[in-house]
Amino acid sequence: MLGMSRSLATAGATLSLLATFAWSPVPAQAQDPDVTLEFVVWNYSLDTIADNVRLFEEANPGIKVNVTDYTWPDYHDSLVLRFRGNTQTDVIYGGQDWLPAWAAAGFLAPLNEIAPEAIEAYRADLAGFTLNDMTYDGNLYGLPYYADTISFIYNQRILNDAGIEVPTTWEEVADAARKLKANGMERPIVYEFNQELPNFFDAFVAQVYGRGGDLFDENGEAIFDQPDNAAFQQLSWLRDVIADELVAFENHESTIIPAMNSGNHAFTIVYNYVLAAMNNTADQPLAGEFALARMPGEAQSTLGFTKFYAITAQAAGDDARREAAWKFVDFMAGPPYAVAKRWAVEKGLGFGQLPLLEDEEVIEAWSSWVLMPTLQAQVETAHGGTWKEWTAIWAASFRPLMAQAMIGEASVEDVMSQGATRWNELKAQMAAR
Amino acid sequence: MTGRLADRLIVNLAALLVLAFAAGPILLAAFGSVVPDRILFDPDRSVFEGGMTLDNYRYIFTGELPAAYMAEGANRAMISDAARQVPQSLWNSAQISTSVLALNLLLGAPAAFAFARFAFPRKKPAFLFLILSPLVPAVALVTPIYLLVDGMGLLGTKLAVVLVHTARSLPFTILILSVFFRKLPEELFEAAVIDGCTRLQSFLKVAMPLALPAVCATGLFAFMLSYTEFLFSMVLSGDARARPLSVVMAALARNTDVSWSLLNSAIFIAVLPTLVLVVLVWRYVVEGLLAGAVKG
Repeated sequence: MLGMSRSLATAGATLSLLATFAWSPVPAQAQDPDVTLEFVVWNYSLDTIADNVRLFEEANPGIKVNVTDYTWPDYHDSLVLRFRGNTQTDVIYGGQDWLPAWAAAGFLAPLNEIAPEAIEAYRADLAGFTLNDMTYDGNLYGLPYYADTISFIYNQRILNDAGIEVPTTWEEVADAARKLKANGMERPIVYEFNQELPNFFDAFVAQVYGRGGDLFDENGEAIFDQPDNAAFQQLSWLRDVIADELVAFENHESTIIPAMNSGNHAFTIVYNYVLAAMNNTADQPLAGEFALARMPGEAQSTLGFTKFYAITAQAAGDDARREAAWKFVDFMAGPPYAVAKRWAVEKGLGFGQLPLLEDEEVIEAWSSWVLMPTLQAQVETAHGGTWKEWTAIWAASFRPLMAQAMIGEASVEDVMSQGATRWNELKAQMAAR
Repeated sequence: MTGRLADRLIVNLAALLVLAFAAGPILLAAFGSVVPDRILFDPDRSVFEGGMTLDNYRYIFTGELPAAYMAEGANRAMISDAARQVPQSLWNSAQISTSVLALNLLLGAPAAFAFARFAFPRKKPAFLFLILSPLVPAVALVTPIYLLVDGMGLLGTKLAVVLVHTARSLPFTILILSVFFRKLPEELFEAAVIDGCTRLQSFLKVAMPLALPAVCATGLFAFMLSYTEFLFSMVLSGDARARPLSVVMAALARNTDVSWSLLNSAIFIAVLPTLVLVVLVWRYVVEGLLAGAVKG
């Protein structure tokens, strides 16, 4: 008992010591800056972010930038909590899907009001889909941090061996898959099938854009329930190729990479960065065999998406913070696009700044995993999505419906009708607010 | 004889099953942490083909990239920088959880003693309120607690996490200890009063020595509740300087791009201190319980 008491006393002393540390304040900075910005990001490549921030601070004495990061799944809710709690938040990573709600709620400040001349000058350098993704109600709310497109990817060796041309329409894709199946490949198409993830819907929209259609008209009304609509046709196409047992399913893009590298599939439709991972010689056995083709369909367009730097309304309300925040965003995303180029060269991240497509360093770095002329054509013709305040809510309800139609548990007609009705209801509800 | 053999066999099998569930994931994490991804995911390659490597641990502690990821070619995010936060977050978690443990015992033990041994006005509703308060789902409390902590100017500090974790774990500490104090014989305290002990002295000199096993157990329980708590830690801790391990582990585990070998290394590092603590403290808890049983 005595030994035990002594041990507990020692443990108690240790506890007190540790507990004291927990209450210690964070050490103060050696020299107070003129302005301190709070930069909130999701936790991708924090070392690079920190180094970019360091470069900015060196170039802008008097401005200090604190970086706070959240995990991707928690990012949206954490940021809304910061906005609602009025926690100092100056520059953030924004996303095309969140912009309408955040801008409508007054959380963000339009950049064209903060730096009108610069923004006007930069517009010409930005891909059309990025401008679409960063615009709400006619105002531009960001400059691109990362922008990419959804790609149709094929295995060059498998197609060459089978004497198959790269398909340019969805009918040709189905024919090629049937031929490969006849040659012994069990499921020539591997498809990301996860109704919980936005990827599932985004890939579908990209296919619709490939056909040259859209799910909505210019007034934002749902038109995909019409049988001659490209979305209606594409969902029917998916249902048919799945019924013909041409498609294998994977529930995440990360598992598409090893699936394609197994040599058991010839086609897939995923975000372009997945191609980089597939062709990574460091860890993929079939690296180098995969190539990007324009999205099949008459238009050969695809869906682009953009994550961007945005300035909060809170920061814009304070002269010093507004000026510092703009300097920071301009440094990170403005000409000469050094930071965007760094992300592209070092990490393979896509970009919305078109001049980088012709940058020699970018071309050299990217040529190891993608055909640059094809990518350039894809980026230049990509479309942004239709992002409204209710898009995320609607897509969450439409994805399970789509899944039902794809596997034949519901008819395409019913699914499209229900989806269109729900969209129009949400649109009307929002208009009535 | 055959029946006893069968009994032993069943007991051993059951023990093996429990061991497989308890130790299996830890052993798999340890194994996965020293085998490169390209071998881990290739069913056609022997795990011994590429040899074991400690590159992931080196990366976590020094930032030196594992050789497997230095090859040419774009690689989006297999190496997550969040792993570099593991050592700092481990230290943060140690500080936070130990503080929670200390506060639970400092506040919880006297409160439990008061609830167990004394009569005072509104005792029953106060106890019920305390015991029922953990039934409110944590997610419903996030926004009000965030606003409260922000209003106190404590956002982004370890102190905020300590206070909230203490508030969340204190009801359990009080409940468990009050049950224990209630079971102590009344005669002991009557004798202490006859010997001239005050209420505080009765608590410190009679109740606490007898309750040491329960105190150790509840302290450990509070420590583990704090060590594994994610939601409030994530929302309140701010940047990496104050972030506990549960948040960093979630960042790694929920990043679908991250290298599995790296994730396994981080898991193993995260589990190790808890294992050591449990092994060290549990001995005293069990010893104390046995001593109490003999005395009783």
